[in-house]
Amino acid sequence: MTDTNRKAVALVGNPNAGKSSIFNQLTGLRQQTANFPGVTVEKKIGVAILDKGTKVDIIDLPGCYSLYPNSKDEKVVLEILTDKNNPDYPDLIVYVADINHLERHLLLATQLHDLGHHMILVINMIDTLQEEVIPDYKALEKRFNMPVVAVSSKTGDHIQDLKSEIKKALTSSPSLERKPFYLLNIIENKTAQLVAGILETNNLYLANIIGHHFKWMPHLTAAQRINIAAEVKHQGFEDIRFQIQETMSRFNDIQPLTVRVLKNTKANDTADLTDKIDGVLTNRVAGPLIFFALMMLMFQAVFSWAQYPMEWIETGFASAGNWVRYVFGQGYFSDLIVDGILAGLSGVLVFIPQITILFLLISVLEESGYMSRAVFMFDNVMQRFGLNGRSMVALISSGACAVPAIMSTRTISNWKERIITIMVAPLISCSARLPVYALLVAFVVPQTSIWGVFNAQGLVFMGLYLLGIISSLITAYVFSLFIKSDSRSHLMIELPQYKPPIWKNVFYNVKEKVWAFIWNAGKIIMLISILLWFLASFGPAKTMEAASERAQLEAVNLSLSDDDKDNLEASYKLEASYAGILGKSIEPVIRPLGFDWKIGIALITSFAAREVFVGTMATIYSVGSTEDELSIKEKMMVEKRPDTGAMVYTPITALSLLVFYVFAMQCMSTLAVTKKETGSWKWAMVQLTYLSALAYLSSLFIYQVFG
Amino acid sequence: MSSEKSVLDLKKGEWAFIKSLDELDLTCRLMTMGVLPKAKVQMVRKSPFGGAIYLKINESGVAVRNEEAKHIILEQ
Repeated sequence: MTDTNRKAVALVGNPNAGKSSIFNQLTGLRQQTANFPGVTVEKKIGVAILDKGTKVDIIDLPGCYSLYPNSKDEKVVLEILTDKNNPDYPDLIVYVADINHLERHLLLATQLHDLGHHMILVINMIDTLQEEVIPDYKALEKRFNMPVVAVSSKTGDHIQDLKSEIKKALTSSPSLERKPFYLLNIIENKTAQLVAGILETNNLYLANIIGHHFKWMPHLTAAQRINIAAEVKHQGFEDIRFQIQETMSRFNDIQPLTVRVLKNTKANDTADLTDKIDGVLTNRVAGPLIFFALMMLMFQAVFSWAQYPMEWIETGFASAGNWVRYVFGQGYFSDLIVDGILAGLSGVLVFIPQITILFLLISVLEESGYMSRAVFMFDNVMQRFGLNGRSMVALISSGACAVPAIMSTRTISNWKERIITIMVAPLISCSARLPVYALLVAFVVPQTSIWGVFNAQGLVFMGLYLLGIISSLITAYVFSLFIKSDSRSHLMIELPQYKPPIWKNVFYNVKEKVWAFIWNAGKIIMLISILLWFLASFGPAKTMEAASERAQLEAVNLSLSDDDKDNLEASYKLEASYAGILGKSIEPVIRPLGFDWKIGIALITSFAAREVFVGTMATIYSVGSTEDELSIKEKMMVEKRPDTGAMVYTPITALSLLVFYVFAMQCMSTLAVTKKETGSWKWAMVQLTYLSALAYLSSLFIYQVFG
Repeated sequence: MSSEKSVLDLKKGEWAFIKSLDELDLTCRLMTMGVLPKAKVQMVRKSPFGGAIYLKINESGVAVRNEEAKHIILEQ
């Protein structure tokens, strides 16, 4: 999607400045998410069409408060904007500031100004102003000596003007006549001159910033680092004190400037509304109650709203299967399509409605500003378990998927709290567990209601989720006893004004995540389903023949009907197949948990992604029987152990399997993202080991004690 | 130092002006969130489980822990 010849424009600004909305306004559907090379942070890239024939790449950088970073997100911004050789170094910065928080949001703008970046200043959210007084944007333009565009990312007002300004800026050379906002003090100046010599730059402010951050900046060479360290020490360059002086001095300039710009402009009284809402939502008693009610509602929505679209998808796949058999007739090709690919795919695609609803609701919570209230309310509770209030965001989004949840921990500045959050995030039941739970819960309790109110299966579902939540807190506590902290832990979080979610943002967000699910899961499932079909349909020729003969013989002895005979033959052949051999080989290990070799096959195939379980069961039971009309559930219901004739899926076996899936770390993507976010395989392995042990031991306990 | 009042001494709904921030490590971060000397600060409420407070600084909401809030010193 990116084109090396295209110019790159970076969107920079504080969190909550409305950057993502501007990104969506500029790029529309032409966007994708990628990872910064070498770094672990997600970046969003899109293409904006400025006018006919002019396209530029737009990079949405993480929200950032200043060039003195407090989190990994902010470090990434600094890394990119202070290194001309960085592949993401932009040709132009579009700096986004919220008119309602102009003073605070201009801090970083003045720093980037002093770094000498080619820049456009965007003043966002002008739709929130009362219309009587128009802000004096010219004063800003004059002081910053760069174009200023006032827009509304919500309504899309003046986005076209922004596009033409971007075009104009990219075709003209920047005016570098700039009056710095901050004048370096004597020591800073001297140090910066020496550092500038080492770096071969002539921007003293850049040299000054590097003087503050050289220790961790990845693009410096070892020699540069040693030389800078020596100069910084020799000159008596003071890290924190100078940072504070600089920040103070900048605000001293910005304060009168914003007064001049804003004059008597007034915002619409949404602040009052926010106060009123927060009076209830963060209230000592009502706040937590409403939070739990919201979580329950979310849970409820996922199950009840999704039911109809799920039925449509199931029916769709069933008729597609019939159509294939009708068109291509009986034979290996139809078998492969219907029993292999379609069975596997439908097992997973049927969960798109639930996953969409889950991502939609979480996205609305984030967009509206409610998430930071949850952080505020539960910070103290989370601290007791070795976590940070910010861990709430990760744990809630883990209910959809652990991968974005683990990425969201980048806002936690304390390493210990961050690593613990990453370690326990997979314990929260994610959307990929839904298919497995939905299939198995029917074997634990029937579809009845208790006291006429609660749905029995719903209660088991809720129990599984609670099991995940409670064990995540206990595990976090245990981890906190063993991990050392490297720095102080902070809360300090903005509580932005409530705003109705911008549906465009929600839509893009949900679309991107659901599509990633379909694409990633779909890819794996297709591959595994096809492979599995081969493994389950073929086996060593001799044993396959023997199985076939044995079935014929038994059928005659028991005088079975033709249909039953075919079923018997199919199931014996499955047992003799390569997949059967594979499942049987791990049967001794999983037998104590109550699992047979067919479940064993599913455990192996779902190691990479747990949702594959359902697809595998579907494929196994389709190959192992001739009845296409029965659902997987119905086929499993009648499954008996060949030796004892007892039912395979007793309530206890199903429960044992369910608990196994609550804990087991069956997700390659999570392991990969843990590795990336923590920088080593060590933590990914810790995660894999402790979760597997937890899964095995819990299932063992359940089956041995209750079975 | 004990004579100095911090944000923690404000009662629910009370407001005052900030005089200084007396902890180096926190200062930069607090300032980027708008917690600046001379700014007007209002104590909105305590968090439901304690440990943190909800502040309004020049009309924007910020949540800080008590541990952090005690370093926000007020004008007498």
